[in-house]
Amino acid sequence: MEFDNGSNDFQIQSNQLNEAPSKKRIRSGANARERDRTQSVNSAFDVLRAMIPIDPPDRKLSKIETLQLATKYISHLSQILTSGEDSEQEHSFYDVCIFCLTNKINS
Amino acid sequence: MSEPSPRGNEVDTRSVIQENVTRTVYKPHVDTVISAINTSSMHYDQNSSDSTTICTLNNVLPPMGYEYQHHPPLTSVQIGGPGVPPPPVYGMSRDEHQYSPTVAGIGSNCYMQTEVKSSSRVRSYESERDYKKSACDRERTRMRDMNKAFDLLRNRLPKSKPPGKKLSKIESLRMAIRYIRHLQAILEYGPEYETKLYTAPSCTQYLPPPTYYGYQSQYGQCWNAAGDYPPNVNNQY
Repeated sequence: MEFDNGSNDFQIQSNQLNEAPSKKRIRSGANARERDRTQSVNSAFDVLRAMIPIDPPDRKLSKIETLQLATKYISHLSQILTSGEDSEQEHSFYDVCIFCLTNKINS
Repeated sequence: MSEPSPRGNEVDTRSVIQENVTRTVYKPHVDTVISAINTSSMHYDQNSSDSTTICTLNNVLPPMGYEYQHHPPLTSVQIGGPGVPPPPVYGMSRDEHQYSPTVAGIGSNCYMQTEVKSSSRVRSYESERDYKKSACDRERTRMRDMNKAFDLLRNRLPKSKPPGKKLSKIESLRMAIRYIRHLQAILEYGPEYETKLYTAPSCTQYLPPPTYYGYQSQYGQCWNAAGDYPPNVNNQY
């Protein structure tokens, strides 16, 4: 008996070829979605970065820096609102609010 | 903490306050100074010309950015001597300052650091596996620090989710943007800013154009006026 292995192989190969594109499609769809998600996070970082007053103004903050400085900036703004704008006291001789300093530099 | 340690062949297990790590400074026959320094930047006592700071490195993975070389454990250690320059304090890049890397032991091996030049940092690892492992550790530490920073930011933002939930990263970023704008507007326009939003549209011409930040929440809008920003289809900030 002769086995027609040639056509069997072809059948197997074409099945694999038929399955692969849908998996590729799924992967590329997920990749595109992840790319969009990352892009939206990065542009949110950019907007936040632009709102933080810093000296010199063109220094690009890293992601972790923007997070830390945004936290401090919110504290700074809250402090000014609760204690009044003129009473920006320094806690100690060495402890200066970086945003008060930036404000003084820019004004 | 720059007191010189006693000379001699004894091993001085002096521990660093922060990370409970002791360092080893070792002068091998190759005549390069091997120094292990952690990121809490200990300063050697450069005044003592016979700089004999002795300490041991024990089961410690050195922080990133420093070259190091696998070395058998040391029993006695001494550096310097007259005429030998004191070991330098490493200048650190910004990243190394930001992250205090976790100090973890890898088996029972002792890792030493070799200083060739501060400008050319050559890493010599025992294997590719060790390199990838330390790269993974670094990345994991980096991500952990970033998540901590996100948490700190979330704590400063107004509570705007049901008690069990917390803001996602993108949500907390957008909320931070919105909140900072809100605080700045209050500072600029005075506490009447909030009431102005309630009043007739003619008053809003003195206010900055409202923007919709793409953050939708049915909770915790109490810090913002009820007459809220008009929705924007494009979900801009």
